[in-house]
Amino acid sequence: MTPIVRVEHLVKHFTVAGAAKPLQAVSDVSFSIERAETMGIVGESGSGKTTVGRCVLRLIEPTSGRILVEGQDLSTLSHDSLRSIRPQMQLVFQEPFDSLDPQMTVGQIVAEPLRLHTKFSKAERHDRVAELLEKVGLSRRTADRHPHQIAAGQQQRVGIARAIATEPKFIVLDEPVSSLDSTARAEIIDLLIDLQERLGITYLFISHDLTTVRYLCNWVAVMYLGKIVEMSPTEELFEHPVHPYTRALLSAVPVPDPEVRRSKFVLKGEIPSPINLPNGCHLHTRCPAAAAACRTTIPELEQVSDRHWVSCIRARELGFDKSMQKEPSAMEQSAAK
Amino acid sequence: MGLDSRHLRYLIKTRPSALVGAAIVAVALVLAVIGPTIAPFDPRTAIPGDQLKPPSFGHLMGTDDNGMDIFSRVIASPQTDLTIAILGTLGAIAAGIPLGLIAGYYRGFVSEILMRVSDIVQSFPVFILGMALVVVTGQEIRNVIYVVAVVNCPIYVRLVRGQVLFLRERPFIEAARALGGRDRWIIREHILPNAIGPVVANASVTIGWAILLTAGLSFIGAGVRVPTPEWGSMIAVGAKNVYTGEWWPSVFPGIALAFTVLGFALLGETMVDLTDRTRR
Amino acid sequence: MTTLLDVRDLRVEFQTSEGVGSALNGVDLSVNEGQVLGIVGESGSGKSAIAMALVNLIARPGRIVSGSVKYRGRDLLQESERALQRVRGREIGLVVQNAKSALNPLVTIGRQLVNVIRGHGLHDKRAATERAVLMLKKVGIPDPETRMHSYPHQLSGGMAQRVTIAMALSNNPRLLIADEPTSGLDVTIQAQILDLIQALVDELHSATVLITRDLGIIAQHCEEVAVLYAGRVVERAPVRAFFRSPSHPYSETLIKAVSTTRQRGRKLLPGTSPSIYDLPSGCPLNPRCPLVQPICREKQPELRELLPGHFVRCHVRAAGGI
Repeated sequence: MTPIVRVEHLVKHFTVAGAAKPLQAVSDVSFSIERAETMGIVGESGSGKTTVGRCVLRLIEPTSGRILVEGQDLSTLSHDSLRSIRPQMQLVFQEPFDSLDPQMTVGQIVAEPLRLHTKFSKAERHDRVAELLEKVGLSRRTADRHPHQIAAGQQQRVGIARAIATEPKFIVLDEPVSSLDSTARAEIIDLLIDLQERLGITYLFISHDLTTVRYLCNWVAVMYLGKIVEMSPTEELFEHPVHPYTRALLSAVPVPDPEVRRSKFVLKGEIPSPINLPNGCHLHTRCPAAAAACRTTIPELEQVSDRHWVSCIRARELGFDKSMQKEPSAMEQSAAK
Repeated sequence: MGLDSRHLRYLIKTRPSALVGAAIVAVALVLAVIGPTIAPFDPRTAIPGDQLKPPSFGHLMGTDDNGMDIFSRVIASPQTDLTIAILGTLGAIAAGIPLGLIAGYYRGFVSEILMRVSDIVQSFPVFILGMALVVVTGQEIRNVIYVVAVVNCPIYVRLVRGQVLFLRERPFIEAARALGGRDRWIIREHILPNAIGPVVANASVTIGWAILLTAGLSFIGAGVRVPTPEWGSMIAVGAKNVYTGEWWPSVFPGIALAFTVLGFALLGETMVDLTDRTRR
Repeated sequence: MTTLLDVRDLRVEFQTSEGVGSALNGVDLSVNEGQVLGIVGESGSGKSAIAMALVNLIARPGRIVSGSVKYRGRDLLQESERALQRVRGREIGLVVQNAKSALNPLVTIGRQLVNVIRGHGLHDKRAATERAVLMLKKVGIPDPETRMHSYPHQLSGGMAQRVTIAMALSNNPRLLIADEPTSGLDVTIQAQILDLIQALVDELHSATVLITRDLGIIAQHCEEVAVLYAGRVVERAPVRAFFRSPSHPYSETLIKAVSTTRQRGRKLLPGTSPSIYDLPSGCPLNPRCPLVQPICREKQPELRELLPGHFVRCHVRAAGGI
């Protein structure tokens, strides 16, 4: 099965005014996503995950690397050709309100992609907008409102309606629910799942919220300072994390279940700036498992088991962390009823 | 803009100055239309023998040294002053918007040139520039309008440019690009409608200043010509009489001028506050 | 177990161009000495107003309409500003969201910390400076003597938050109020900050009120939890009991929303929290609640004790309904 999205050796450097070295936002990232699947990219600030999302859609020009969507290499396309395939690949933004033009009505916002890429008449657009709004769980009347008149959760639904208007095959979701309350968040995630099942859309879900990633994604890549440090199917990552950063990340997330206490795998210090990256392994300044070699050797992504890749020279020694495994709690069992 | 009756009520409660301003502007606009028609005396005709009569029931504001009724001339002036000020402001806006859009959206060489030219125009003292332009082009109402437009154009170029610079970084602009919109589309559909708010709000303030400019130019003899009724020229004509105790030919137009400019300023200030994005 | 903080029927209103908003509608709370109480709520619940209300710092356009906040028997809402200044910063420490905006950008952090210490009793400059350095060390800031001379903008978000914690705890308060102390911080930094707060309050035996929207933080760091909805506490229970058997329909939905196992069509409450300018009559949840009965639209439910220490504000649940 050919993956719908394939990223090969993506690199992005930014030149920063006044700094001697460029900001290495993304360093040699490669991954692929199968049709109708959801890939998650998790990381904290400076990880480069947002930049990856933008580069994959070529909204930012990559410094080097290939991006193949449906077999087409985006990096070689002219601007006009790129614009003509945009209907196939869309983006949902982090801040719902900021991503909507405050002067436009919801109806106008959702109709914009139709005006740009279709020859629908005004009436046809009107109908399609109503249809899209209903698809994302909003009433038709919302079309006449302005963004500031509706709640944040609804604003994000508008953003999603706009993104699916041209029936894209692939959507990049950049922290689409991080600024929402937990209930609105859950509703939007459920909506995304529903849309994926009905329309067969492939998602790239970028987030720092591990709980949501675990719920939504099939496949996860963990990024730290521009590199993928671990990549595997979701449950595998959460049950058997190998990379020290992944472990630290997982143990840092407070689990909404007082019966579960994760082993504390703590990273010391602060996240280094992407302008001044440490030599060797980017994590070595904070890693409790750092060895002398970590200071000088740059680790590569290696396969440690079927479909599980880790970028750490001590991966095999560290092995699989059994303490991360847990039985579903009583709470989760009853919630699943 | 999303103003509804609830907002208006709040406005009335917290900003009485806006109401005062609005009232004055309304009166001025009405007079601009019907002023000369309802004047008790013809504002342009001198009645010999009636010179320098003090205020009385027949002549509410007295007469000037040509024998013209001051009250009639005072209420006939808005037609001149406001026409010049409003048309001039519209001219400044009509030129300022496209220039500001270009300067803000396409940064680089073109933008730099535009900003430097604006700097140069703005660095001249307003009256000197106004005077010079009128001398060069001839003392006609049409040219005074051009002067008002030229002098105020840089303000709008800067204002629009500032809005554009702010708006280009907004996520909804990036969203439009992600949808496949080209530059022209983005400017037309997204940037322009969002940039226009402050422009409209500032128009009232500009009109106020333009009235003052017109009056000032007329006062020094570089604006509207006698006998066209105009507050500035009226003040100038009556100035020499103040020494001899006949204060009414200068003072009444002066008060009218001050009130009118104040009205536009009060209204404008509130409008600027309302459209100011940081308030949200 | 003595009661340190006793809040009764606290009501706060906001007067804006949208009308009069009822942010807090009769909040009842209590915190015992050494206890860690978590207050959880979403937007519109009133959680943003509550920290300030507890120390009588609500400013225009908001105002405290009625109620009492008794700290060790004295109602803080009735005290003079002078008396309050002796309580704030010394007996009650406050940590707010977004540390950088809580710090004065023009003054070094050392100076700000020293001012807080000197303002509450330790006047001697040298002694206060020593204590400030000690506090910075305690909150895990490396190289504290040098860092004293840094300005807030020179610190990372996590560092700045550590400084505000140092300020809040520098005078050994009996009560720490932490209002979303980790929002905006990265996950790993968040964990560091929460562990730090926990360690320090354990050492000082201070009580803590932790306001958050993250149920995970409640589960891992709190002993008791109070759920806030539309300006009132709708459920109050020990944390374990809460997660095992939440009673209020809103609490149930909050817990379901953060589940990590995918469920087919999980039933969350439809709709959104009501606007503070337009609260429904009766129980504010009634437009969304699956258990709604006629009485819910007419009368506001009272807080009733279902099990020892487990309180719920719901007509149906209080009557034993499911």
